Amino acid sequence: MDDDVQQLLRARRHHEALERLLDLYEKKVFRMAVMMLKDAGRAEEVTQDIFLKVWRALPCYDGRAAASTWLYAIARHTCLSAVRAESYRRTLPLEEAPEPSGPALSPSDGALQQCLAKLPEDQRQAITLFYLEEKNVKDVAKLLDLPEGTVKSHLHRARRALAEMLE
Amino acid sequence: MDCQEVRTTILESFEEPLPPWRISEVDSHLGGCPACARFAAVQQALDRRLSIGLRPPEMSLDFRSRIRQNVRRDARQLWSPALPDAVHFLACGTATLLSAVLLPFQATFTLGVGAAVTSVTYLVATAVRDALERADEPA
Repeated sequence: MDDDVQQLLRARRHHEALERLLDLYEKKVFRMAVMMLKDAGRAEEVTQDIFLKVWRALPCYDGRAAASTWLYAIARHTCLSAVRAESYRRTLPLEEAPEPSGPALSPSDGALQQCLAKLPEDQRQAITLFYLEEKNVKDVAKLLDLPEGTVKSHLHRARRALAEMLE
Repeated sequence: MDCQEVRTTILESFEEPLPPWRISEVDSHLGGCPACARFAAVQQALDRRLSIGLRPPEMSLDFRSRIRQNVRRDARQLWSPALPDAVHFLACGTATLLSAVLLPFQATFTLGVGAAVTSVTYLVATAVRDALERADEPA
């Protein structure tokens, strides 16, 4: 899949390369943004920013890393910047802070959401992405830039902790 | 298999399917160990609850078209809107002046032809640019 993108970039067909990257990764990047920002509306704005950055960086992409690795690195950095900006925004006076634009995830299970929020951040990220990514450990590991073994270890700890909290 | 191994295997089973021989090992342990059987039941219920509670939100229907618009806007912002015209007039002016100096014609004639060619090419370039921008507009 990444080969298609590399071929298009070698041919300097940047618009087509961007479209291919969107086909392959827009949903995954959006889900990562949802997981990190906990707000679907904000996550969509950040996903727009991520692909705009990708578009600007396409001419400089040298193909040494897989396109997915390169794109996820941009996505992670952009999401982290947005999270930092959100933290800063929360320190602003209330009247200056914009309202969150939408719910993060299915709000039907409030108790589960509360328990997830109590997990250590690495465990929360791993278990949330695991279910958002249709239970694919490999994808979660790539998105978080972690070895698969580490992701599995976070998942096991998170499951044990959640079971205790929910009992 | 001891309880610790069985519980780890149960947790692994949510990440990838277990081979049949491991499933039967776990099942035979669970048959004689109520604590592990309870652990398995709780974890299965948690997996179901997470599968339902962590459904990914949908993206807006216009998500892709907004990205395309942003990309187009960004590509335009890289260059000043006046830059193509400035380059056009500068190049035509330079060519006209050089022609007036180097060619064996009266300078006024050469300058006149240069001005006419500059105006015509400017009009053609503007028409082409407008047509391309109209074609670029989303349907």
